[in-house]
Amino acid sequence: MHINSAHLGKELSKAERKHMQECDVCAFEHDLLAKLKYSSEEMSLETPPSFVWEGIQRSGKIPKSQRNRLWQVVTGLAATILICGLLFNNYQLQGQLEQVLLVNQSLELQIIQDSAPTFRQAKLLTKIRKIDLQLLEATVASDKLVFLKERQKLITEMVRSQKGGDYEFSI
Amino acid sequence: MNLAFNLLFLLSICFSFRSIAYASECAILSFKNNHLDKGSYITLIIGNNGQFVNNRKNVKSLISGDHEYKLAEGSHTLIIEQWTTSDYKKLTRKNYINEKYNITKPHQIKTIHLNVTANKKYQLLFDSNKSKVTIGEETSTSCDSNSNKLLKARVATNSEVFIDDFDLPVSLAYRLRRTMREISGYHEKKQSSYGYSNIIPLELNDYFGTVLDKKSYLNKPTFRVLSVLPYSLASQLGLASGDEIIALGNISIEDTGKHPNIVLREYFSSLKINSSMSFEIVRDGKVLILKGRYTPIIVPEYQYQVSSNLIALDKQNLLAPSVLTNSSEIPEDLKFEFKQLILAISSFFQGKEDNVDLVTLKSVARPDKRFGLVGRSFVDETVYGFKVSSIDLGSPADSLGLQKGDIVVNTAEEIAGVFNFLLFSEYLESLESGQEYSLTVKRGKQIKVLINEYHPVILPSFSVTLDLASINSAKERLSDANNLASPFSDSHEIYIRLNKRPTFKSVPKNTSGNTTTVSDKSKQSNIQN
Repeated sequence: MHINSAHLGKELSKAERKHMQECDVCAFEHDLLAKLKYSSEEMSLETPPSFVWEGIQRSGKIPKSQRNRLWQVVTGLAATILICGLLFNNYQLQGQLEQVLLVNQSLELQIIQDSAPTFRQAKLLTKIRKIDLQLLEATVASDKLVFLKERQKLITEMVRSQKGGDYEFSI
Repeated sequence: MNLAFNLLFLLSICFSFRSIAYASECAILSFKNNHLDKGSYITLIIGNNGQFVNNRKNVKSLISGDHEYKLAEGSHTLIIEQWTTSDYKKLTRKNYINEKYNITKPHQIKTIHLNVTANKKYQLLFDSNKSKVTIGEETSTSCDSNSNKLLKARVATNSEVFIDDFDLPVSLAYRLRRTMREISGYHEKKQSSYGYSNIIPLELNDYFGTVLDKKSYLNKPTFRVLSVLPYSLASQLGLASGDEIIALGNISIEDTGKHPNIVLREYFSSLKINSSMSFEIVRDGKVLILKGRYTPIIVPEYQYQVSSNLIALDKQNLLAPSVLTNSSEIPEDLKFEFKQLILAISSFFQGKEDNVDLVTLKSVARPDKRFGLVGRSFVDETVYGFKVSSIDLGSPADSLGLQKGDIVVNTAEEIAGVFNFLLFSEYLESLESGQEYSLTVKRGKQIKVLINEYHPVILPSFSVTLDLASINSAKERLSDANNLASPFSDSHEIYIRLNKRPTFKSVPKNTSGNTTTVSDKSKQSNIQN
């Protein structure tokens, strides 16, 4: 049985020293380790070149970068969803605008303008003009849609007022 | 553009003598160098009955203080400017006329109408809050009419009619009465005098009537029509909501970064009077060309007097003011309504055979027999009646408490259970002022009896005078400027340029205009596929 290798190269106990005298293997290993320890203590401390340190530092950031990339992916995905949502919303708004405009066109083309408007029609005209002026100032599609829908009601009323409606009377 | 209108004036001075005649006797109108708001002001007449009044030979006396004008006996519509003395001096240092006029503006501009009597001296006084002009003095004097400086009186054929005795369409007459009630209501809020009067100067109807935004068609920029106002010039041209304008006057739309309505204005500004204009549009996938003629619509000068709505029917007399001023700036909506009405009335009179220069429409006060309801007959399993679809604000129907959606099922006078529309309208017409009356209505599932005292809306007495001759003279002036740029900027500026100062030398830098007008529908709207 040999000496515990962990003890080799260090201060040995009495029993270990006795064994060493009888065992060549242990004596060789102990001598080798003792020399190695001595030589390592004798060696000067060398500073590694800066690129080595930079390499080490870079290698240390790898996990953080991965986290950032993940965050970027999540943010990008969210932004894409938002943009898609906005585009879809805008697409829908434009679609609604087109529809309202088509209805308004059809209503406008029904208005007979051969004779002067009545008092009631003149009042409706003033209201429509007021909305038109607001429409002129509107910059957002949603605002335009609101005004156009409001306008549609008034134009409908104008058409109905001209046609008289079914048995409609003004008293 | 300024040059255009200044030349226009010059031409009008040379050629438009048709409604003006020399008078044998004259009156004197004097101004004093006013001191208002701690400042010194100079007041001068720059227009008389649509003609430019030259003050250049009078500059020294204007600046020094008191000055006067000689007016032929009769009717005068005068455009009067009030300047701060310092501004006016600056103006005269630049030889009186230059492009600086656009920067140096008068303190106030007034249009007034007055009738002068021969051998009388009048003094016009301005109040400090820019609202009123009054005659401060009226004394006897002698006036030498043999002078080149005499301001000529208007000699016009005047047709004065009570609208009840005239063939004005009923709906137009009613619209006039109702509008005058609103005008009276407006004056009531502003003032507390017995009757109200105003004079509205000549102007161009500069509202084209469309709102545009940007779009594209086949990857090319277009202008999408968001709205077209019924009865507007755009509507008469044939434009409609949803149309996409791809070219204006054969020039394709480009994305210049400007608002489409500004591009439209610029297009009109580039047109000559009476020249043709065209809009290339896409409607339902088809390309159409809308063609029209670029002819301005002119709103004539008009003046009115109206009694207060608060005065009892039997006491409503119109007191003609000694001097009519454009003292009241009518609210925008009401002004729009009034302007449309004036255009409709002048169009009616212009269509008649006997040409008159002035038309005065008068009306005595009267109760409005309209109850203020719009609705239709209604029948279902349980009820037969009259379903209310709208109610006029302030009307007897409104006072009674009727609401939209109510179904009138009975009146107090009717046979129970049977609704008869004829009886219903006769019942309403028979109501006397102060009489208690009732209507039975079905509101939702409830039956309600509404009771009230009948008080009809009172339509005030009024007099409205339209100067139809002013339309023709303005048209003449505009056609004289045929080869020049569009007259459009804002209405007030148009008015100034139509009626005021001619420029004899300089060309203003800014020639951009505003929206425009097209001529009447019958002549132009020509849609080609």
